[in-house]
Order: sequence, then structure tokens, then C-alpha cells
Amino acid sequence: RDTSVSLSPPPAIRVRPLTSTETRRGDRRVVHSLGDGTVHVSAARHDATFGFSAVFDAGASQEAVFEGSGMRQLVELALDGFSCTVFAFGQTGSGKTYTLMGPLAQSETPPAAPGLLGLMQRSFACLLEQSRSRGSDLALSASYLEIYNEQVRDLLSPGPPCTLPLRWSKTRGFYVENQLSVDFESLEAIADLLLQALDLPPAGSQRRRTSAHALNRHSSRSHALLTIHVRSRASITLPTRVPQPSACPSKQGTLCFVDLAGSERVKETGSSGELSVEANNINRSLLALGHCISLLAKPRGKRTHIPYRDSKLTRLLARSLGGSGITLMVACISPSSHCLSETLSTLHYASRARRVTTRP
Amino acid sequence: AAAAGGGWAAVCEKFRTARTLSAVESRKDPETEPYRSKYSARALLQEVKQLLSAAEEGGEARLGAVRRAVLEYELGVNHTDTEELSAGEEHLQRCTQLLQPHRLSPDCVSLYIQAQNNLGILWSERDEIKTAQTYLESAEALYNQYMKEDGNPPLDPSEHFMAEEEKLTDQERSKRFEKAYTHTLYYLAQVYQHLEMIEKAAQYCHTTLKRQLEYCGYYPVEWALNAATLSQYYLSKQCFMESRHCLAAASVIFSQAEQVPSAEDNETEQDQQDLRQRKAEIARCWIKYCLNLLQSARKLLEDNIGELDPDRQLELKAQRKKEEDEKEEGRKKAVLFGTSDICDSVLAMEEKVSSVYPLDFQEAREIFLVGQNYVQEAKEFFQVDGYVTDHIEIVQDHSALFKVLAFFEEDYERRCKMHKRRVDMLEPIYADLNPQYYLLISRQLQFELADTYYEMMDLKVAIGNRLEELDSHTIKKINSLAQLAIKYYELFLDSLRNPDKVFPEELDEDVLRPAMVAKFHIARLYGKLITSDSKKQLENMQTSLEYYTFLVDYCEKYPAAVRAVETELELSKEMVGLLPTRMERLRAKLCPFI
Repeated sequence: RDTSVSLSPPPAIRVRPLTSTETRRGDRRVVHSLGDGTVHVSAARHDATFGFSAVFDAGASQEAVFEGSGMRQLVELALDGFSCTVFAFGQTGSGKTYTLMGPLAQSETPPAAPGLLGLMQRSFACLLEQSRSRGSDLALSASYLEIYNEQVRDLLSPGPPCTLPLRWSKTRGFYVENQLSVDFESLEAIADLLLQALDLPPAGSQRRRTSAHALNRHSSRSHALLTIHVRSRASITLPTRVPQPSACPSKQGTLCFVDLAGSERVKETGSSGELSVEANNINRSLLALGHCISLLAKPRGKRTHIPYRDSKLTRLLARSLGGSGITLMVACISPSSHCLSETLSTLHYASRARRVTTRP
Repeated sequence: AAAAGGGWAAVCEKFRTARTLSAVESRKDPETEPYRSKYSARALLQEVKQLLSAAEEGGEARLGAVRRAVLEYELGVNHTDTEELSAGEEHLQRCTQLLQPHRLSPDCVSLYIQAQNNLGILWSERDEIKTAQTYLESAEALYNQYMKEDGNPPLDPSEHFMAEEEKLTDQERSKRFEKAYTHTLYYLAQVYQHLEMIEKAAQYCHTTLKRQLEYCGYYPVEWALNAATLSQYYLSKQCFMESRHCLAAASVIFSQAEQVPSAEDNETEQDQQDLRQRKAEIARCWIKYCLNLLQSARKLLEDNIGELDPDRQLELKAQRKKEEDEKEEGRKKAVLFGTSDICDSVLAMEEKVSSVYPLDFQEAREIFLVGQNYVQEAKEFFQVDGYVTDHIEIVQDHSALFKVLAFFEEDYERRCKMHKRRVDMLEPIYADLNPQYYLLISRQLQFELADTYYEMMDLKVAIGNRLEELDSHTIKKINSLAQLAIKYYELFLDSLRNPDKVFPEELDEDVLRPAMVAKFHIARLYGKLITSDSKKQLENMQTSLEYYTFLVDYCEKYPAAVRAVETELELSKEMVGLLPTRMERLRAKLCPFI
């Protein structure tokens, strides 16, 4: 437990540039990165300064983020058999998906320039490069899940999207039943896989149930998890140059990329993990009855008790979030004055996370 | 008939295909065309609509109208699903217009209600919640009128496009009709909540739960949790009978769920874990029930110094006898979860604990014991390792149960023993707690421990006063309790210091009163310490004076604080006036020649 705490890199902050919409609207820039890890947020009455060890401002490249955030260490630890997770946290539109996988490639446009590739693709490249230099035998496989409205969907499986059950066993911990895990050996293969997942009907990220006009609305409510299973075994090369399965024990590590739902939604879900009934909308599903009732019984003072409902995301990430996992949090924020309160809230969250990881 | 056999069958087929497209196939629609199936369904519905109008003859006007109404309904829902609210509204309105003259008849009533349900939902999406309310309340009224005037299971709308032999049984018709009405009530619950008509919302949630048991099918664990949550709402309104009923039903339904065996090994592990947790959650709701009931009774019975008032007690007992028979039956009928198979079990559960205010020790003790049992049950799952906050809250509730039971106990020695139990359970968990990460809980425990020792000391003094003179054993006891109380109050006050160990100049609102009370009690405690050493006594009085002075000075500096500590301030001012004189006299006795 102690090892993991000291191995986890501290949270990193990434500030994206102002978008053209924001500039047109005349939004002011309220987030300033003062170098040496200080982030200053200024606006009318709110003035706050935060200190972090890794701050990437609007001009930082994807490569700089990969190298400076500690992502590379995570990759190496995964090769060593640890459970590593990187979270992208922040409000909708703050750049979480961009940080994790670069600009979402559209099927008609050519694939993204290599310089814009995100943490995912760079991690794959790093994995493959490391395995070659260590001379170990790597078996890599990937699975891609989405959690929307407390339902788990496999984004890689062909055919109609259906909900998969989340199970638990002593040996595997929490796992998704019937989840598809795809083997890949080359960077091209995994990049293709992602493209598939992003683009076309057969599979994937666009199957994150986002239609063009509702892209942000949906991704803001769902969590996406891409898990890479890394099984490595050092192979002994005999004089005949035929690698033999070695006597060395194989190590199985995981590298998980979590694109979290927009953090502004967190307030609405509360601890129950259920979506709130939005504004005045009536929720058709009787499954929301529980939420409706718990709003009635809002405790004023400690005299009542609201029975807790578990969240699927917490269970799936139990191993990573628990003592033996190694995590990197990348908090994404917008510099616009329009998003001030969300930005402050994200930064506060990140600084609390920072204190937790450095505790003795 | 409007259409000859084969033609009609084809129409029905088209209709069914349209519904399948909408309900089933649409889930497989690709992201680039999310409404593909719905559009296809719409085209088919339009075709059916045309076929119908073509085939219409005079004699079957009524039948034709109903069939057209079904189509308008389906089209209305279709357009609403594809986010075309205006078109959706148009179709739904046409549907209700067609049905208007016949809306109370068995072939139309269900469809009418469903159309109104959908109009309610539609308007809520336009943020016009009051308009939604009118549609839903109208649907509710129609259901009630129909049941009163007719009551027979009405046709399900889908039957208008079914062949004779496919038509549904009365049982199935009733089930679907009741389901539609349950949804009406459920939507109304949400509407009332948005309109902040909380009591009505609760009532409708309750009815929805009730109907789920009777008609809709339900997931037992889910249902049990909902009922337990609702019970907590009733607690906040002091409606103990309703609260108990919900909890009893929750326990009964939950135990049904527990009995279902699971096949696979993997499933069992996870689900067992879940079940155990839910069971413990329900136990916690029961604990709150018992605690609230006891505490509410206390409020009714206590006099102005916090002791049980015997006159009030007699009064309430007499009143209870009168009311016993009257009110219970009426209220109960309204909220009964009444399916016959669980009725008896629920009743049995309810009989284990009272729902009326306990008015003496015997009655209080019974409720206390029920609460204590649930404490043990909850602690089985919520162990310290892994559920620190939950575990501690349960222990705090246990301590609160003892505290309120002590109120009912007349004998001081026995009361003291109850407070001792509190200390015994709180001290160990406090000792293990890291105040850095659990600041709030740490403070709560410090304060509660201090208060408990304070009470115990007061009791020992009272017991001592009844004797001729205090023996040395009692004196020792009193002093030790006082010192322990002081210790914990000091720890609490220390926790308020900033990182440089400086006590804040001005106290935050949420810690103001507890801090003031702590200072006040410490002052009083130093005044209560018994010592034969006059010099020591003088020191104690001096310390006491300092603490009283702090209070007075603080309130002078920050007048806004006066409201929070009025009684204590008054007494403090008195003491600040009296003590110096007493100390002078004592000093004079010590050194008579100075």
C-alpha cells in the first residue's frame, strides 16, 4: 500500500486554449499559469492560487503532456505488473478526450497528425518500444467500455449495444462479464482499433451513443474506460535463436484510461450514482423512483439515513482506486471567465487529491 | 366490417411492425442515424392511417374514430421520441379530441389516459410544469371516475389492431390498465416535487410503491430500499406509524429477496456482498426510527430543566387512552401495503415495536432494545475496517439511544451506568481516529465524551447530596469525572486552533456555540472540583473565573454571538460578579493577618 502511494505521480493540470466560440463571445482569460507549477485564477471576487507539480498551459503540446505528467512512469509500471490508471477529470468541453486521445478523427477526414495524438496512443507506442528494448515477450489486449446511466456497455463488440453485467469474484475482483478483449501487436493495430471505435458503425467511440448534435451532451454523462492488459514474460534466447517460454514468472499489469463524465454532472448525481431528474423533466423510468424518494427525505440534520447505492464506476475501478493501484489524475480546465466556478471546483478537487497522494 | 378479412389482417400486421420497429429495432439504430427505425415506423403508421380513412364507412364511425385515435397516439409518441415536440403535441391532441365524447367507455379510457400521460411528459420537457400537472391530474380524475362508474378491465389500445382470437384476457387488460395509471401517479409525484409540494409528492411516491407491489412487478431489493428511504421522509415529519409501516414492509420484501438462491459462484459472491450491505442499510433506517421516536417523546415530556415532568406524563397517558381507537384505523388504511401474502408478515414486524410515543421507562426500554438489536445488525456489515464513517455514525446512534433512555430512568445510579456505557463505546473509537483526516467526527466525539462525563459528574453530585456527607470514594469519583470532562472539552477547544496553535480571535458560526458551551462547562467544572486544600481551591476558582470572563468578554466584543449563548452568558455574568468576592473571602481565611 505504501509503495503505491509513493509511486503515484501527483495530479497534473492542463489548461486548454480559448475556443473560437469563447473568443467570439468576448470571454476573458481568467486562468494564468505562472510557471513553477503555480496556477492563478482571477476574477471579480474570486482570487485563488494553487500549486501543483505539473501544469500545462494552453501552449503545451501533447508530447509535453505525455513526458511531463508522469504518464511514461505509469506505462513502465504497467509493464512491471502494476494496475495503473489515468483519469481525465474536468467539466464538459475542458479537453479531457483531447488529452487522452487527441482530436476525434472523423471518417471522412484524414487521421490526426502524429503531433496531436493523445496520451493513449503515445502510451501504446511507449509500451511497444519498451517491450522491444527489454527483450520481453509482450501479450497486449484491449477492452473498451462505457458506463452510461449506471449501465455498462462494451464498445468493441460488434452488433447491437447491450448492457453487460458487472460481476465480482475473488480471483478477478470486479469484472465485466462477456466483455470483448481484442489482442493487438502493433501500434497500427491499436490505432486502427481506436479509429474503428471512434468512427464507423461496427464499433466504438461513436457508439458512445453520441450523435453529432448531442456529442457533448452524451459524453458529459458517461464514463469511458479503455483498459490495456499487459502480460510480459522475459524470454530466454537459446543459441538457436528460438525464444523459449522462460522460467521467469509472467507479469500481468493493466493500464487503464478513464475519460470521466463531465464533472459538472457530479453535483447532480450525488452519492447515489443516479442521474437526477433534469430541470423540470419527468423521468419515465420507474427506476428513478428511488431518486425521487430520496430527494423527499433530504436530511436536515443528522436524524435520518438515506440508504446508499453503489456506483458501477467505483466498483470497476476498485482495484485501481484501492491501495494497490497507481493513479495519475489529469485535471482539465478551461481558461474562460465563463467557466470560472467549474474551474475553481476542478482545481480544488485536484489539490485535495494532491494532498492525499503525498500523505505519509 | 370496414375492411375485409385479409385486408384488415394486413393492416394489423403493418401496425404491429411499426410498433416493433419503434420499441425493439430502434435500439439497434446506428449513431449516425439514431432515429432510423422510428422514421420507418412513422412511415408505416402513416400508411395505416391512410388505409383506414380510405376504408371508412358510415356505420363504423365510432370504431374508425377509435382506431384513428390509436394511430394519432402512436404518431404522437413517435414524434415526441424523435424530439419533434410540436408535431407530437398535435397528434396527441387529435387523439384526445377523437376520444373525448367516449373517453369513459372501456374501449377508450386506457388510451385517453396514456395520451394525457404523454402530454404531461411533453409539457414538462418544455419546462411548463404546471401545464403538465393539469394533464396528469385530468388523467388521474378520469381513472377514478371510470373505476367508480364502470370498473371493468378496459381494452388495451393495442387490441384495436388485433384479430379476435388474439385479444387479451381480462386479467392482462387489468394489469396493463393499472400499469398506465401507476405511471400517471408516478409522474405526478415528480411534478409535485418540482412544485415543492413535498407532502403530496411523498403521498404519490407511497402510492406508486404500493401499486408496484400489487400490479407492476418490482425488484425486491430495489423496492425495499425505496420503502426504507420513504420511511426516513416520514420520520422527518414525525409520522411514526407510516414510517414503521414502510420499514416493516421493506424488511419483509427484503427477506423475500434474500431467499432467492443464486446459481453461479461468481454471481453469488458479489450479490451476497450487496445483499449484506443493503440489509445493514435497512437496519440503519430502523435505528433512526427508534431513536427519533424516543427523542420526540422526550421533547414532549421534558420540563424546562430537561427532566421528566410527571404531570406531563400523566396528561399524555390520559390523552393516549382516548385517541387510541380513533385515529389509527383511518390513517392506516390509506397507506397499507396490502397484498395479502405480505400483509401478515408486515403486521408481525410492526408488532415488534411501538409507533406511539413511549411515556415511561418500560415503554422506552422496549423501543431501545429494538434499536440496539439493529445497531448490532448494522455493525456486522459496517465494520471499522473499510467503513469508518458509517461505523462511527452507528456507534454515535447507539450512544444517543442510551442517552435518551437515561432520560426515562428515574434512578440516578442506573442512569450513570447508562452514560458509562456511552463512554465505553465512544472512547476506543475516538482513540483510534486520526484527527487530521476526520476532523469533524473527531470534534463531535470529543464534545460528546465531554458532555457525557459532565452528566455523570452531575449525577454523582446529586447522588452524593442525598447522603449525610460525601465519603472519600465519592469525592474521588466526582473529581475524576470532572477532570475527564475538562480534558475532553479542552481537546475540543484545542482542535479549533489554527496550525500555529493560536486560538482564533473570532469563531466560525458552526463552532461558536459548542466552543462557548465548552468554555462555560469547564468554568463550572472547576467550580465543582472538591478539594480540602484551600490553596488548590483558590486556583480552581481563579481558573473558573478566567473561563467565565472569556465568555463575557467575547460576547462584548462580538455582540452577534449573544444569541447563541444567552442562558450561559447570563450565568457567566453572575459568576464573574460573585467569584472575585468569594475568592477574597477565601484568601482572607488563608492569610488572616494580611
